Amino acid sequence: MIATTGVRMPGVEDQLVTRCRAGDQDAFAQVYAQYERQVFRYAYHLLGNREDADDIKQDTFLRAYQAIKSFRSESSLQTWLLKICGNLCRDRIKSWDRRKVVYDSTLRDEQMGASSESEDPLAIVQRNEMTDTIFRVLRGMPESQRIIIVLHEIEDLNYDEIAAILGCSRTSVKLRLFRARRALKERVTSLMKPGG
Amino acid sequence: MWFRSECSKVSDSLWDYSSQRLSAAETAHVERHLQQCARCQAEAEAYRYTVGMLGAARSQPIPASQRTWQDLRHGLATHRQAARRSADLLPRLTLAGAGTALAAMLLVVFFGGAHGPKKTVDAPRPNGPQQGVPSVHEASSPPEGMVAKREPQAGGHDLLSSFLGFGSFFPGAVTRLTSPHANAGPAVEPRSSPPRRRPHARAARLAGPARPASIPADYAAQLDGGNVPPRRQPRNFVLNPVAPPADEEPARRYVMGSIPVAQTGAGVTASSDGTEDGGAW
Repeated sequence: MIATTGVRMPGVEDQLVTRCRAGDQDAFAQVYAQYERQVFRYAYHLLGNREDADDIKQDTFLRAYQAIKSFRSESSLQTWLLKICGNLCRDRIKSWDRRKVVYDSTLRDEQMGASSESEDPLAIVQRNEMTDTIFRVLRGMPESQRIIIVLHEIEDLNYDEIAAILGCSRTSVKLRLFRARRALKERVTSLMKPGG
Repeated sequence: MWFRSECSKVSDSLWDYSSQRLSAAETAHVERHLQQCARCQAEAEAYRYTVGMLGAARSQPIPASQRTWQDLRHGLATHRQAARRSADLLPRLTLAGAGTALAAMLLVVFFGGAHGPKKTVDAPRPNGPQQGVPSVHEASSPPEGMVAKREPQAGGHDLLSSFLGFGSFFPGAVTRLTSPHANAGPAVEPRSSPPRRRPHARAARLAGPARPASIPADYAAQLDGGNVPPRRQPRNFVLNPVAPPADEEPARRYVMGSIPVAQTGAGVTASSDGTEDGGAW
């Protein structure tokens, strides 16, 4: 599933933002309808379960509504929303780490199996296994590497968008992505080994 | 060496090669190298597997979100209400705080001075033995026939001490009493208790040690009259004996247990040979 990446339409988006700043709730409803799926997916891929992703999504839009007046249109709304979402996810993961919450992969299996009834069951099982493995590997990676992998490889954002979300340069994004890919490959390889 | 640098170059582009993002020329270059290098081939296989897993994760449908716009709108309405409530509450709280502070200040100003014992000063009596030097004493009410008139002093001590009830601790809380007779003469400034002042150290040194109580009366008279005998001159102790002049017989004094001393007129010398002076050494 390829994300709807932000092809920014400055005129339309600026009008939307201006209306949101004026307190127009219909305009904010449009923003919600446009980006809520992407925000939810990003949170889901970072956190790994639906309930937390739902909470984060609502929090993201609530924060965005509160802070829309401080949005300076230097980046796209999509980038801004994903940045808020990423920060909230980071806080949630930190709170998990403090409370020693461990990632439960069985929850993912229950949640994901239902939506593909027309496909080959074997293919579904294999894909579920691969997805489960890759998310388990991602959960074991450092947070910065996990975020950049999700943003580029799953959300399919380009370097500039990732740089705007992470607040770093394009070169830094490329370097971080290269390291994260290599780390992911090594982890997957070690997991696939007979003793791993 | 050539293979190593080539391996590192190819390794950098293996992810893009596995995800088929390279151009045709780059793909051909990588494939040529992979045919020669088994290590890079294994690495490319691992990359391909990882990319395939990520592709599966990307294509995996995610569950639907359970929260809708209606939920968010409800949350936004709650947030707006809370913001409005706090915005309404803030000026009220500010106003209440300012009113309380003002009331407290008014209380202090008007009723603060009615508590605590105060120092009162006797009014000067024209015919009294201590005319012009009023005495200070503690009293909570003025003496008979006197009218209390408070005179607060600068610095707010009077006000503060009155409010806190510590009037006796602050020298500023002085109540001046006026009698009917006091109007006749000029007002005399009340004197507060004299400050305890430590005598100056140098002056104390110059004055010398305190005179003992049991000093004889005649010596005391000499001291007072300035007729003090001169100080004794210090003795000169020399290691080598000085031979006295032949024509002059030194006056000898022998003190048991001390240095034998030979006095020669103005100077005093001590001889070091104890043989002649009785073996005091």
